[in-house]
Amino acid sequence: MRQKRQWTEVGIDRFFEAFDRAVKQDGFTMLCTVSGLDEGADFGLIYHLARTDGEVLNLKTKVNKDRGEMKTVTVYFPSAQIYEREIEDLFGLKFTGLPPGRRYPLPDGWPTGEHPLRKDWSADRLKDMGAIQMADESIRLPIGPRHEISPPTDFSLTKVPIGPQHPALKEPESFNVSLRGEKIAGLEIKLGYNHRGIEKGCEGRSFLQDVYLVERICGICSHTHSTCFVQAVEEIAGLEVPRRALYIRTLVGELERIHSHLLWLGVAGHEIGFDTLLMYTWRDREAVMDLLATITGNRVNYGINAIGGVRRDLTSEQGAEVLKAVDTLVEQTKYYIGVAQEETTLIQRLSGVGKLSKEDALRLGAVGPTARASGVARDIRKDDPYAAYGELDFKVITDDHCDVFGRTVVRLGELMESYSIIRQVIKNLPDGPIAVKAPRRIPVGEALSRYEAPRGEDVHYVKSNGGENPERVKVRAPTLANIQSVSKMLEDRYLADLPIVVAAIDPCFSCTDRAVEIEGQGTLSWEDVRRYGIEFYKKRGIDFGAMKKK
Amino acid sequence: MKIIDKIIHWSRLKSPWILHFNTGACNACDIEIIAALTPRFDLERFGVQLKATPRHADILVCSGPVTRQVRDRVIRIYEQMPQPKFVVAVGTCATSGGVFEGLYNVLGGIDQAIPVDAYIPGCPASPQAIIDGVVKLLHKLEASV
Repeated sequence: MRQKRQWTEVGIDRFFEAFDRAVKQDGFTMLCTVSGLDEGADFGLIYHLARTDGEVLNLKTKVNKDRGEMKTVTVYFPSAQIYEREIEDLFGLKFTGLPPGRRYPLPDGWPTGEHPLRKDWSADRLKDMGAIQMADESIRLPIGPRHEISPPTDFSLTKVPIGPQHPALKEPESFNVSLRGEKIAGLEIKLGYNHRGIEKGCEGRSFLQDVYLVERICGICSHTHSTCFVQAVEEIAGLEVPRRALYIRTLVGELERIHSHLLWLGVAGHEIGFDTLLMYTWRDREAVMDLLATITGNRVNYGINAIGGVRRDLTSEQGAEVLKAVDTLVEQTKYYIGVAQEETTLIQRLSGVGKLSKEDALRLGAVGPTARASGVARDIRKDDPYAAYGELDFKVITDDHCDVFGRTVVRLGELMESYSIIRQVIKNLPDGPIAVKAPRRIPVGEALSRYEAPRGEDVHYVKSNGGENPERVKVRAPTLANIQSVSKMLEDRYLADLPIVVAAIDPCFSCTDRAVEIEGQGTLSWEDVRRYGIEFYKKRGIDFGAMKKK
Repeated sequence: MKIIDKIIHWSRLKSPWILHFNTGACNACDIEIIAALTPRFDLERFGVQLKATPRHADILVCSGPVTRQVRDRVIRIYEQMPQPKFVVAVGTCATSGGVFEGLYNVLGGIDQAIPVDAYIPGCPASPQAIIDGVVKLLHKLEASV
């Protein structure tokens, strides 16, 4: 078994005692995620708790299906809310004591009593029901009592729906923002537009097929997910991955980080109306895309990972090509660092926006550059080394600005570290095979794998029951951990800051659809809106009709 | 054809404005669409511009399979676009559901929700393929008169 992992199972009656002790005495102050399992008569719940030294405690308990409920752990970790809601939706286990909020991740209008991750459930059940009317409630505003952030009598609030379609951000996600004047008074985040049901899909496919399916969880950090998954499977199967393969994985992982951070810098520039920066960074990013295409064969969704190693070797010519491209990229990045440090408009637009104090970052479980920009030196590559990171020399970049500017500084600093890591990888690339043979059936076992994605910590939990298909695959992507700190960052801020603050956590997402319905009048047709507008101005002494006649 | 129609047709061909919408994709096609619009591939040389709202767009560029949650929204966006309007499905998932075919929250390709004029396969579709698809659509438009 891998180092730095503890697996404990306790009965439900002693669970909270054990949980309390782990958090308060043993210092497991981070909740990676909560994995749900369907184990026949019981629901299995595994709370993955992490410590700053990289130790992970996997605390398991069982809840009888007849009992059907469990107490929430949000008193310890506010971030547990979203993980528990996920289990509520996908398994049908009720969590008591959760704050009011909307479901996640299944769509609105999903039939009650259908819980896809239960073992006896299959997608055929939906077929029998015919077409399901999936209502999108956020289309119509004002929103009903279930979504009210402030009491419905408070008409001084303007509600603005943002999303799920937006030109700059790439994944559909929706925000219901309540405004008092220009300032944000409340925020409701609606996720789940991209929920496809991959976890269930993994159970119906073989381990090998799953490598390619999890790779497509996210196209920007595809190497993240496939590496994280194969690491877990290799741990269960007890495979000794050749060092050369680990180095190649590290190389592709760092190239991915560079392309992702450059992409982010461009998007951040776009969000603040600095499109020149978008064009510049995306031009330079093409150098990385070329390298990825040369090494792996594809620009995006590289498909280089296999269980037990990698699929393609790195030739010395390719190595030289990488070093040459890195030299150019270093020059370009230095230029961007100069821009970030000297360009007054950029500094003024980003400083003080989206504040997240160190305490809040820790409390809300922020990960990756978002946490590091708030002074939390947390990096899985350092804390819980995987692939070749244990043998490489690099710094964890932190910053204490605690705002969007800080997040920019951290990402630019990380780019420079990535270049240094890549040079070390090429220099120290060991000889030898690139893969070991993996069995088709993976032995019984479970594993938790962590990976530092460009956006933060990615967690995969894989369980095998000895067959060709996994028993359970649980994925916690970094954005899910970070999205919970967004409402904190936006508290009492201007609406205009929303895009850049949301973009600053580097979410995988998309949104701009504005339609405000006039209180109490229902949806208006175009003719009605026109008449309403004419009357609105007539009341104020302006008659456009009369003006025309003159 | 009246002269005014000729001018309208010409201007349509010279400025196909697009709206990009992710209907449940993994972001891979999305970043390739943006890559196609940025300096290396520069789709703007064909007059293609990324727009913020469906009201300004002629072509809806969709990526990803249609998820149940997003289906109503993509239909709504399509309805908001002014005539004549075209839909381009980018990537294998957008074409047929691809690797996500059969997952419980996935309905299939874009054509499960709205009519599609051009399919660009690939996982993800490369920027070159996207440019090729757009140019083919423009040729189709040109020939339509």
